[in-house]
Amino acid sequence: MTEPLLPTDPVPTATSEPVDPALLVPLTELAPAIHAASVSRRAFLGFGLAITGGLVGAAVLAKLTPVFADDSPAAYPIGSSYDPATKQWTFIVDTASCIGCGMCVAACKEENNIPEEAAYTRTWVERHVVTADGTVYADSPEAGINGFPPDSTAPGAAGQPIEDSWFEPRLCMQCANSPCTGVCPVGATYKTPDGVILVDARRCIGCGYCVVACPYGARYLVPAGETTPSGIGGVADKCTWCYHRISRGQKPACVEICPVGARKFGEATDPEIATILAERAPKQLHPEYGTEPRVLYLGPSVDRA
Amino acid sequence: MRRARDFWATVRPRTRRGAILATAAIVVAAVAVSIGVLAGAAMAWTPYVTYDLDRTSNARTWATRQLDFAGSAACAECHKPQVADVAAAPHKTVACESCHAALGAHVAERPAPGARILPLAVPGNAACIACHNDTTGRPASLHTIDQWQHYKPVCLDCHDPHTTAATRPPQVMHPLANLPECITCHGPEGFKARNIRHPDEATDDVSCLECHAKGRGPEQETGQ
Repeated sequence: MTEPLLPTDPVPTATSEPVDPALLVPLTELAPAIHAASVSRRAFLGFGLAITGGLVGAAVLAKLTPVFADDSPAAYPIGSSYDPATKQWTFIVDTASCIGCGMCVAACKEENNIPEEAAYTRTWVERHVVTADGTVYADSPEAGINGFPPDSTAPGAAGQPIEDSWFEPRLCMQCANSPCTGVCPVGATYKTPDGVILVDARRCIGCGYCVVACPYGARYLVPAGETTPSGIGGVADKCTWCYHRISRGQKPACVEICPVGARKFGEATDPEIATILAERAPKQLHPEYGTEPRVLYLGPSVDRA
Repeated sequence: MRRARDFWATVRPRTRRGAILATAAIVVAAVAVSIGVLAGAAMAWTPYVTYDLDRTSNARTWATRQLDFAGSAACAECHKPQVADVAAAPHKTVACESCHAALGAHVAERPAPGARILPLAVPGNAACIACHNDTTGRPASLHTIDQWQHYKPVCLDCHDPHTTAATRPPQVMHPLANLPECITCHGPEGFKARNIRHPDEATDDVSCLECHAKGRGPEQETGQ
């Protein structure tokens, strides 16, 4: 402190010497400023009231605003009231009626912008062939996207007498007890309130843990390139039950396109779904995996097990 | 109390400028805290509010993707006769876009009735064969054919895909008495050869007349 104090600077009070009265600003001159700077009880309460009011206002606004605000084209509005918390979707696959045409796989690829190579797919169709000695052979050439050749392409199945055969469409089971969401080290995959499991491509680091954790093989890694479902490559991807369609009240593309109605989708309270649930008792595929799959199966896939 | 008064004495503004700065600092701090609290509250109450790293805001991104397949309900708004034909036929479970490909963009355009628009892609044989060729694994209830043993090379020459009705095969118009076997004239060596897709083994007159006698036709293809 070599420089002299300016007359208006605050006076150090640590000093024991008496303060020169000339350095002090008269109190009358300071009064308005002190009045402005100090917080009166009224002002303090006012502040509190404003903040509380703001919070309540924000909460009310949030409740009034649709969960998914609608900025999509007029032809395909998202239901302005689509609220994931109010929906519990059910997906039923009837393996007795599937004809193995592969339209579901092709429609999924188009609808979700999946890379065109067969190895990258959110859904696929398997053909199960039971030979006379009871062995079950499965084949799924190119995930079934081009349908199936007349005879099974599974190694060992050729030329054997066939006792039974059926097609089995497969997709993400949206498990209630999902291993994929548990193993993700960065929390990129998560379950929405309506039970659909999604992947946040911005967070995914592409480690592939979820791909190997899924006992149903429903996940894959999207290669980097122009064709990616989320616009981001090198990340995990999986069936979303066409989340952009069900949020608009549409059915998933594979369900919409199936020519024989082998795939059913809706809420458990929808008449068609409720009838099937009540009368035909669809079952989980491989319940022994313990993941509580939420896609239910009818027909030989579960009846022969 | 005295201690507090001493503290106030050390920090109180002593000039008008200091007082204004102190007031401004308090106001700015209050506004900053309020914005933070309000934004946090908004995010807590609206989990899908757009915020880059909010995990569940991603659900909104998935939910608002554009769709390609419009759904058959949209087709029924304009193409009533065709939709009615399909609804009354065995093809009633088949969606329009199963054969005509994704029409989301077409529906989004909403062409005015009568406006000249490009016709829909008329599916080729592949669309029919995808379901109707004989393949291991198909349910017995499905009507299947061996496409290499079927009669005409173009499905839609005979079959109406909406009603699934088939036009009958050509009827024999000339008298049959005092003529040799059909295959004499209509075989590979004949002057009016039959279509090469006819089954090789069916060469006797009985087989021919099963379909080509006047008033006869393959019953299973006329709407069942």
